[in-house]
Order: sequence, then C-alpha cells, then structure tokens
Amino acid sequence: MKKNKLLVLVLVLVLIISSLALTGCTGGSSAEKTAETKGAPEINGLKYESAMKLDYAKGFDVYYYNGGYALIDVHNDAKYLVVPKNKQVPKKLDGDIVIIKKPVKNIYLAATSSMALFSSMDAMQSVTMTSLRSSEWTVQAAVKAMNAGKIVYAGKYSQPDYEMLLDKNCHLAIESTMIYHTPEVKEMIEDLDIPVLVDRSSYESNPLGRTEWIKLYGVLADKEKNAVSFFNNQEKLISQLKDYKNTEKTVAFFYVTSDGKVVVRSSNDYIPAMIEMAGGRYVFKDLTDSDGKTSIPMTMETFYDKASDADYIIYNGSIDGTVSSISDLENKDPLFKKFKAVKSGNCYATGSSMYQRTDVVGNMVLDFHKIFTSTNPKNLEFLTKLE
Amino acid sequence: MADKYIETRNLAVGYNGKAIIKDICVSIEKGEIVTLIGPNGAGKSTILKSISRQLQLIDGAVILDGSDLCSFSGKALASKMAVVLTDRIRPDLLTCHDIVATGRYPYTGRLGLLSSDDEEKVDAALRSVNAEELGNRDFDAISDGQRQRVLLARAICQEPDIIVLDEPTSFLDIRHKLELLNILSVMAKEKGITVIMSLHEIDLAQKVSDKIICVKGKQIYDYGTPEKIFDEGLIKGLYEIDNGFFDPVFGSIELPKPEGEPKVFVISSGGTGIPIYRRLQKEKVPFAAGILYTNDIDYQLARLLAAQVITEEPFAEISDMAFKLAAETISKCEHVINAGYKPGKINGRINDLLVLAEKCNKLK
Amino acid sequence: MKTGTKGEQLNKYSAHSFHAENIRRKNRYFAVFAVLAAGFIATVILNINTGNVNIPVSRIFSIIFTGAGSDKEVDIIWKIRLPRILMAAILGGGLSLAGFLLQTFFENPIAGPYVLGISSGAKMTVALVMIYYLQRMSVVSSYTMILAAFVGSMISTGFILLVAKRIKNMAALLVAGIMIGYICSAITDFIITFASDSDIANLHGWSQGSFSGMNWSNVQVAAIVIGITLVLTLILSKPIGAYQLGEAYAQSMGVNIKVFRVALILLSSIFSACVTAFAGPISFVGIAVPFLIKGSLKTSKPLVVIPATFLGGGVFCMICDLIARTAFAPVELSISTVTSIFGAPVVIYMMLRKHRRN
Repeated sequence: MKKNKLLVLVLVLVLIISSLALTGCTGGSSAEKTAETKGAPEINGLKYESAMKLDYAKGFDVYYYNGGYALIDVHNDAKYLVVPKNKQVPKKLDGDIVIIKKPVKNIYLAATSSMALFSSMDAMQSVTMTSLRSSEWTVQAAVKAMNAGKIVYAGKYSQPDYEMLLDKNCHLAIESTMIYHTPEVKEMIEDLDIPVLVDRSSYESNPLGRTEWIKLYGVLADKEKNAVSFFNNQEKLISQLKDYKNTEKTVAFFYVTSDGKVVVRSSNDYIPAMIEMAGGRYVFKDLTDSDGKTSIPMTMETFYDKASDADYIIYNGSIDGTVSSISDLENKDPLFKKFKAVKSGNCYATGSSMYQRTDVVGNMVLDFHKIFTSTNPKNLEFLTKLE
Repeated sequence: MADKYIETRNLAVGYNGKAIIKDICVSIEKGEIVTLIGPNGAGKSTILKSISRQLQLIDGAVILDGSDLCSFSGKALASKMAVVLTDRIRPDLLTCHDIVATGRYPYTGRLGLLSSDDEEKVDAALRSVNAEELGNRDFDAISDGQRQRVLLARAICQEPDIIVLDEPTSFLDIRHKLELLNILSVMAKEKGITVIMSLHEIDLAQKVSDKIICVKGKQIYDYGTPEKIFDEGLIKGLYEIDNGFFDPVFGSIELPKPEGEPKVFVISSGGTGIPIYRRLQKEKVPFAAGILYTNDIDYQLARLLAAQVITEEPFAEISDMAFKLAAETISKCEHVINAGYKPGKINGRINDLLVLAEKCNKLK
Repeated sequence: MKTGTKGEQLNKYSAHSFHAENIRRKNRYFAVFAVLAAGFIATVILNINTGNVNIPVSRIFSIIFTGAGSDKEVDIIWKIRLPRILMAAILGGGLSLAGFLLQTFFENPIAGPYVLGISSGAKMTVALVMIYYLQRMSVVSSYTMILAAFVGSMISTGFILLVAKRIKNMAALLVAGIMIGYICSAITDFIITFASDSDIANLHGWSQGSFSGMNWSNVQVAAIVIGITLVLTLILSKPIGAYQLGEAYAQSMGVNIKVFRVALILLSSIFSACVTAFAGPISFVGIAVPFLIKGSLKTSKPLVVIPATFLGGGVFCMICDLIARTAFAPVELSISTVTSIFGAPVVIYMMLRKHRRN
C-alpha cells in the first residue's frame, strides 16, 4: 500500500515538472513563429514607410513607420518597436513585439563586439553598464569611460547584478549569443521589464555585415547619421581592394589549444571572407561544420596535412595571446618548423582586440592586404610579424 | 493434549534457495520454553531467522496460532513475535529508553508518537530486566552484557506472545545469565509467553527448557524433552565431544579423565572424594576410587574421572568381591588417600582397607 | 500494564523515568527549534536588507506588506531578493534532508547527497543540452535546463535502484554509485570534446552552484516538489526510527525493508535532483547540516531531526548565499565555495571525532 502511494506521488511530481517545462519550451517555439513573417509587419495605427538599406548584413532588418517609429527585426530572434520620445505606444500591438522607448539610456552592454560600434558613432553616453571590467576592454573609449566612472562593471553576462540594473534604470540590455547558454538570465532581465536584444552579428559571414550592425545600434542611440557615415568609410576602404586581383597566396588562420588541438575557422566565417577581400585565399576551401559552428578544432596531424603549404600563417592572438615569436609557435608543436610559412618567415599574429574591434574591419582588411602584397609591410595596426 | 501453538510442517531452511536443514517437524505449546542446541554453524540461527521471517522459508510451513506464518502482515507479526538477535547495533545518540521504546512500534500511530502509557511500559520493561538505571544512558556507552538486557527489555516491551532469542546469554556473566533465564522462565510461566531460543550453555538449556531441539546435519538430530535429550551419549554424539564429558544428572561438564593405570587409590564417601578427584585430575594423575556405593555423590564424579571405580550396591554390606578387588588395586597403587571415610554400620570393612594401606605404608 | 503500588506510580515522575527524560528532551528540542526559527527569521531579514542597492529597513516592511514604494524598489525586493532568499531556504532544507536520508540508508554519517552519482548525472544532461541541443534549437528556455538536470539526476537514481535490487551489501552499493558517477563524468567529458571554450566555462560555472536569477515561478515549483517530498519524509520517520536498530530488528517490527530502502533512495534523490536542477550541485550542506543538528538536539529521533534539519539547512544556505553575493560584489562567489569553507571544517571535525570514539 505504501509502495503504491509513493509511486503515484512520484509520478505526479514528475508530471508537474514536465508540464511546467513544456510550457517553458513553447516560449522558444513561438519565437520561431515570429521569424516566419518576413517583411514589415502591420502595426495598428502606424503606416509603413520604408526599410533600411542593408548591403551586407543578413541578420536583421529595420522598418520605418510614420512619426519616427522604427521596428527592428532581429531574424530568428525577436522584434523591437522603437518608440520616439514622448510618443504613444500603439494599442493592440502584437504580443511578441518588445517595446523600447527613446531616449534609450543606461544600456547594459554585455555584447563585447558592439562596444566598438557605439564608440565609432559617438554614442558612448547611452551606455552606463557593462559586463567586462576596464582591464578586459581593448576598446579605448570603453576603458576611458570606465576609468572616468561613466560606465560601471555590472557583473558578467551570466551573473549580472540585477539590483544595479534596476537601480540605474537600465532601458536595454544588449547581450551576446552567449546568453542563450544561460536562458534564466535573459528571462530574469525580461522579468524586470528590461528589454533584451541579442547581438547576432557574430553569425554574419561577411565582415562588413558584422560592421553593418552599427546601423541597428544607430537607430537605438539616435545616431543613425553617424552610423551610416562610419560604415560607408569602412566600406570604401574595402572597396579600394575590390578590383585588386587576388594574389592566390594561401593563408592559414588558427590558434592552438592547451591540449594541443588546432582550432581553425569554417570556410564561410567572416575571417576567411576578410582574407578573400584582402586578396588572399583561405587555405581551407570547403571546410564547414554540420552544426554551423564557426570554430572547428582538428588534430595537429590533420592541420599539418592540409595547411603545411600555406604561404602565410596568421595566429589568432585574440584567443591565445602567448605567441609573439616564431619560437613560441614552434614550442606549441615542433611540427610547425616544417611549415612553408615558418620557413619563409611569413608568420603574423593578431592582437587581442581583434574580436572586440568590429568597427574597424576595413582597416583590418587593409592590414591583411599589406602583408599579402609586400614582403616587409609597414604600419600594421592589428597584426604583428612573428620573428 | 494441548493445542499446538506453533507447528512446523516439513520446514526446510537455508539461504539462496538452498536448504541446509530439511523436514523439520516440531510442535510447541503455548508458554513453553524451547531451546535449540547444537554445534556451531549447524543452523540454529538459520532456523530462528526463518521462524521470525527474516529468512525466506525454503520449503514447508510454519503455523502460528492457527495461521500460516507467511499470511501475517508485518504489523500483525510484530505484535505477536519479538526477537533478540546477535547483531551488533551501534545507534548514534539513542538512549536505552529509546531502544526499548522501539518495541512499541506496532502499537503507535502513523508518526510513532509515544503516549504516557507507552512510556510507562518502557520503564516497566526495563525494570523487569533490572536495567532501570540504564534508561537514561546512551546505548553505545554501556557494556555488552547491559546491552543484551536492554534488548531483551525491548522485546518484552513489544508485548509479544512469542519471543525468539538467538544466543541471548553469550555476553553475560553468570549472574546475568541466570537473571535473564529466570526472567524468561517467569514470563513463560506467568504470562504464557512462548520462548524459542538457542543456547550454547547446554547445562543451562537442560535446566530451563521444556523442550530441546538438537540441530546438526541435514535434519533435526533429535527433539524432545530435556529428560529424553540429555543423555550422555546423545550429547556426546551431537557435539562430537571427545575431550570431556557432559553429565546430564547435574548438567555438569567435565574435562577428560587422566589416562593410564591408577597410581593413587582414594577412599572416600559422601562427597569428600570430589575435591581430591579434581585435584588429581588437574595434576593428570590417574587414580582409582572405592569402595563407593552407587548412590554416593562421589560415585557420580568418580565414574567419569577415575581410571577404575570399585563399587557396591547401595545399602548393602561390603561384599568379598568388592573388598578383594579393592585390595588388589591398592597393591598396584603407590599411594592411598583417605579423603574422609565415614564409618557406619554397613561399610565397616572399608576400615580394613585403610588398615591394609597403612601396613603397606601407602596411606596419606 | 497497571501501575500497582504507590511506589511504581511515583516512578513515573522520578528523574530516571522515560517520561521525565522525554520532558527534559522536549525542553531541549524547544530551545533548539526556537533558536533555529529565530535564526531563520533573522537571516531572512538580513538577506532582504542586503544588496547592492540600499533600501532602508522601514521601507522594506512597507514594501512587503503593503506593496507601496517606488517601482524600482518593489521590483528589487519582490523580484530579485525575495525569490532568491526563499529558494536558498527551500533548496538548502531539501539538500540537507537528502543527506540525512542517505546517512540513514548507509548507516553512516559521512554519506552525502551526491554519493550515488546524482550530480554527475545532472551535469551530463546539462552538458548535453548546453552543447548539443543549443546548436540545433538556438533558443532554449530556462526550464529546459532545469528539467534536463532533474532528468539526469533521476537517470542516475534509476540505475542505482536497479543495482540496489540485486545488491544488498552497502559497500557494494556505494561503489556502484561511484561507478555511475564516473561513467556519467566520462560521457560528459566526451560531450565536452565537441564544445567550445565558452561552453566549457559555462558548464563549469553551472557545476559550482548558484542561487542567482531565481524567480517566483522557480519558487513555486521548488516549494511544491520539496514540500511534498518533505511530507513523505516525515511519514517515513517511524520506519527510520526502527531502522536505526539495524535492518533485522526493523524487519522484525514490521517494516517492509525492500520498500523502505527504495523509498529512502528515491526521496533523497528527488531532493537532490530538485536542488541540482535549480541551483546546480552544492557541496557539504548535506553532510554538515544533519551532523550539526543532531549534535545540538542530542538525539537521532527522526520526527524531531527531520524538521530541524530542514530549518537548519535553510538557515545555513541563506547565510552562505548572503556571503556569496556580498563578499566581492558585484562579482558573485559560487555557493559551493562558501558552503565548502564553512562545511568542510565541520565534516573534518566530525570524522576526527568518530575516529577518536572508535
């Protein structure tokens, strides 16, 4: 008798929990549903006017409505209606659309790649909280603002200081895709009535696409003109190289993990795209990951097999900053001695800021171009030659 | 004939489906004290555990008060039968009161709360084993013997009709052995509680039990009243004693007699010889004893320990044959000891033996 | 049994009697419970009052009881602090009881709630969700993670129960638990080979335990699950009391040993699974708290120990959480770090004392 009672109760418990979990799960699928409706959605009381011109970015769209309203559609994620200052929120709005009221102040910036964009369009005053400490930032504007106390550290993305967010009247939390790994944080912030926007620029395969997200942030920070002009400058830098004939020199871009594996980029990642733009060829032509991951690990053996003949080696110093000379590279694995690029001395490393400097992708591409086209490149901003 | 209170029908007991003892057919009446005896490892514990449902019966059935043992619910069986086991338990932070109080388990409610009635019964149970002053003490802070009594109190507190005990006297000194068996005896006779236990002390078993079950081999070796069982030969066979004796008359255990031709002749009567016999036995000196009447106490011991005993029929005059035998034996011996012969009307001739001995300078 | 003579009647109230002993004990229990309750209330108040944002005590009361106050402050108290405090209390109590139940089962005070491999099972399924599921679904709700951890814990438990059916020997069962832990860890390591560094960091962060980000929905689910399990545990207190004398005696008193052992493992696992699901694995609570409670109550009687352990666990976790979130604010220490600092010395002391006793 006791046994049966116990089993029944346990089953009931399991049922309660499963049903709760399932209701939680449906939250995910409804987000996918909104993704299906492409094109400018109908908004009650507003007339659609135009869409933002985007040449490279595929991850979002912005639709303009009369009266200064704008709808930001982050594909496969969420829609945000940006309401101008002192204007009304439209009634009977679709429940999935998140309201963001201008002026957008006290942004909690937890997407490190977007800080540079804010700095480039002179919108730093919109940000007052961030998820990295000043010592962890390479974007100079951020370091300066933090040291001046204008931006404070509000806890890392997986454990933000919720009280501070509320206390400082946070209007918007900009998170990176890492937030998907800690969904309870996103839910908690939204529970506090703070909208969350996920920066999905890292999914862009074109480096200019990454930078074009500055236009999205321009809408939020009321700096659209600055954003557009900055972007155009970057585009110009790269279009200089458009007609340049590819040198057909092969480039290997990678870093070595602590347990000896080599991590390279997938062939449709933005870094190989930058290499192409700069007039080189990424050494892996058709390397993709079935799950769509951009970083692909492989054994040293495989890497040696495929990349030993690469003309150039560029070491990803933004993940692993321990390589500053050729002997450092050889210490990682003695096989490197046999690489063509090592023998010919064409080895470079990126600085630690590469990931954070989404703004100056044009300048970076120019740096790449320099090393492909001259044997002794000068004035490199983002690369250092390994001696 | 009294109704059989407990009956086993072709009971087979063992472990893992394998029977070590089969075809056990015994019947026990209410209020009886039944003791299992037998060599180590014979299966006494196995039988007790099977009867108390700690082991599954391999075959056969046990009928308790008319119902099959297997048909009892746990609670019903608990209010009918209590156990005292050999398991060492080391509970933490429990007083003896608490241990005894667990005996109220079948009678308390859902949460096991004790009423003041229950508390009194706990005290009474401890009193009945003379362990009342141990009540407040931690169970693991008392001696083994004291623990045993507390566990018996626990069983008593369970107010059972049957108590099953597995070697309950093992850790007790003589005083507490007697005490415990006395308590069991009182419970059985005054309250009608049936006691089933195993004992190593066969002398005690003989004295306290109504029935004895001898456990050895694949089947019950023997079963019956102590009078029937406690035969010297049966006990010797049961335990395979080849190094001593068990005397069922007094229930005493003796070490083996000194071997060889008698070197000393002991003359005694009425129990005076006994200390001499023992001393000679300890010094491993073979001796002869006589002339002893077969109803004399000395005879009881002499027949076990002496190399040779010269006897005479009770209440008869010393016969010539006996006298002659005694004299011959004396002549073979080196010494003669007069342990305390009391001359009387009939046994005057023993005096002649003494005179004879003196002449040969053997008298001590 | 009638109390016959006057002498026997007097005995009931004599200092040696069971009744008198129980009266003395009840006084002690009352004192301990009073301290625990007071500690509980004090800790709750302290916790509500502490945070990066300073809200004066007077306003706190009005916010809680009347809902008055600025939106911001109400949100901070109601949405951030209160759920977190309540979760720490509920989960702390549940985890302590999980430890208590396994200590009863193994008849050993050092058995902790994770000794049967539950946290490894939970980590395995969480790793699966974090690393595989996320790739495909990209959007996952927090309850998926919670459910994953719970399911992983129960998978480990399921294996243990299967093993327990065949193996009666305690030591062997312990070994089985350790083995299951190792197997789950091996599978987790396998999953990790395909993970990015950030995934690994996240998984590690999860396995250190945290009460951050709890909301009212969490509190409701946890309260129901742990509440029901608590009631079931209290119902088990009678057989647990019998079991303290050992399996043979318990069985002779009518306890169905098979069902009882399964119940102990199952209830303990539900507690641990629930805690691990919401807050990740938290170390030492399950061993230190029951030990401290038994020591202050000076008894092992389950009916008293169980509620006291629950309360004590709640207080312990709330205090540790307070320290975890304020010691290096705004950086939060993981809860296991703090519980280890307090719990480990207690456990070491306990082991030394046991050794000296033997």
